[in-house]
Formats: sequence, C-alpha cells, structure tokens
Amino acid sequence: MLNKRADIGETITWVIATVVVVVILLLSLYASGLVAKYKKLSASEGKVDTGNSLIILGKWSTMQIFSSDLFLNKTELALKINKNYKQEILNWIKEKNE
Amino acid sequence: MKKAATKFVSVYWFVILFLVAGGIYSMVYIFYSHPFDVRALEAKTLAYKIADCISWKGEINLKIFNKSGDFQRDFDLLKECGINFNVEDEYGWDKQEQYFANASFYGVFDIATNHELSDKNGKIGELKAGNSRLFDDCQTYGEKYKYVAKCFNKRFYAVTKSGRQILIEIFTAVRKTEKNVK
Repeated sequence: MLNKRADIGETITWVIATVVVVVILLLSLYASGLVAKYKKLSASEGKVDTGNSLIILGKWSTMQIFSSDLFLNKTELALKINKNYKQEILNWIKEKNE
Repeated sequence: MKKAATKFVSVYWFVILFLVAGGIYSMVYIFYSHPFDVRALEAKTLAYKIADCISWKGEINLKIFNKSGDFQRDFDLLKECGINFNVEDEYGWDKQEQYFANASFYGVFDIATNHELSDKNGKIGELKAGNSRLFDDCQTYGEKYKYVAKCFNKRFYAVTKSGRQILIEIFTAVRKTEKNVK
C-alpha cells in the first residue's frame, strides 16, 4: 500500500515536471515569435534592432553615412557658393524634411 | 516490473529530449524566418546615390543643367547615375519594376515672388525612372499598409555652374514586398 502511494507521488512529480517543461517551451516559442515580429532595421541610424540587441551596420564610415544628413551637407555646401534667399531656401527644405 | 518502469523512464527522457530540441529548433526557425524589412534603408540609399549624381560639392551636374543653366530633359537618370533597377527577376519582378526614383527641380526665384513651389510655375523639370505606380503606395501609412512600397523623400539645394539657384526634391520608392515582409 505504502509502495503504491510512493509510485503515485513520483508519477505526479513527473507529470508536473513535463507540464512545466511544455509550458516553458510554449512561452519561449511565443516570445521568439514576438521578438521576430518586432526586429527591424533603423533606416535613420544604420542599425539593426534584433529585438534584444543592437547591431551597427558595417564599418564606421558606413555608419557615418547613415547617421549624417547628406542632404543637409549638400545644402550647406551650395549655400557657400550662393546664399541669396538663404532663409527661404532653408524654410522650403525644412517643410519636407522635418 | 522494475525493468518495465526503467524502460518507461528511458523512453520518457527521450521524449523530453526531443521536445526540448524541437522547441529550440522551432524558436530559431520562427526568429530567422521573419525577414528584416530593408526597403526603407534601400530607398534612402537610392536617394543618396541620386543626390550624389545630381549635385557634387554644391554644384549641379553639367549634364542636367548645361553651362548656360538650361535644364536637360533627356538626362538618363539610371544610365548617368550608374543605377540598375533590373537586378532580380524572382516573383515576376522582371515584369513589374520594384523601384521608382524621381528628382524634381524648382527655381529659387519663385520663392522671392511668392509663387507656390509645388505649382507648375515653380517647377523647372523632373527626371524619372522606374515604376511610377509606386508613388501612390507612399501616400499610405500604418501597419496594415506594410505590404505596399516603402518610400523616401528629401529636399536639398544646389547651384548650377552658371550660378542659377535650384531647389531639388528627391523621391524614391522600393516595393520588393515578397522578400521583406511576412
């Protein structure tokens, strides 16, 4: 009789352990699905957001290209050549770029 | 009896082992089967490439505005800028172009006279390449529109060799939904 009770107790332990393993696996599967859904590339910074870590794309020079505003640099260079109507030009550019 | 129990526990351990291994495999598969959406980055890179082709060190390419400052409508955006839109022919992309690029040129003079710049009067000309139908896709935003093209739009200023002030608006669009969205 005592032996039978011990067997039942042990079986229940195994069943609960199995349920815990399955629940943890299902939760992990759901979490990886969520992380996969929200991993994204940030076009403005040249970085990859994998959901749990941030990877910088390429070398520093590549990074610089994506982090600096090439269009603003071009405008600044052109303004050095001819800065007539500077404020109007900057306002027109700002209208779209903001 | 004891032998049968030991056998059962061994089988049970194998089942758990396969369950855990299968779970780890599924997690990795789920994570990596979702593609990165690089279209916005691609559209931005394309715009950068076109901007560099149009203006360098503040001056506009002589092939676009000649020495006397006249706009050259026959400028081939793809050929002159070294861009090739037909790089992939999967998913029938060879029949429907997946890229669109547009560069519009406006005169600064129109600001001084308070002309609306988006108005035809202010526009000197534009250069286009690719699938122009993608332009409409970019008027939509939000999660439910993730299957349409991703776009990039920027403005900048440059001067022609003759000293004419020009405002430039660049618009690029990349579709390639099949490869970037799931």
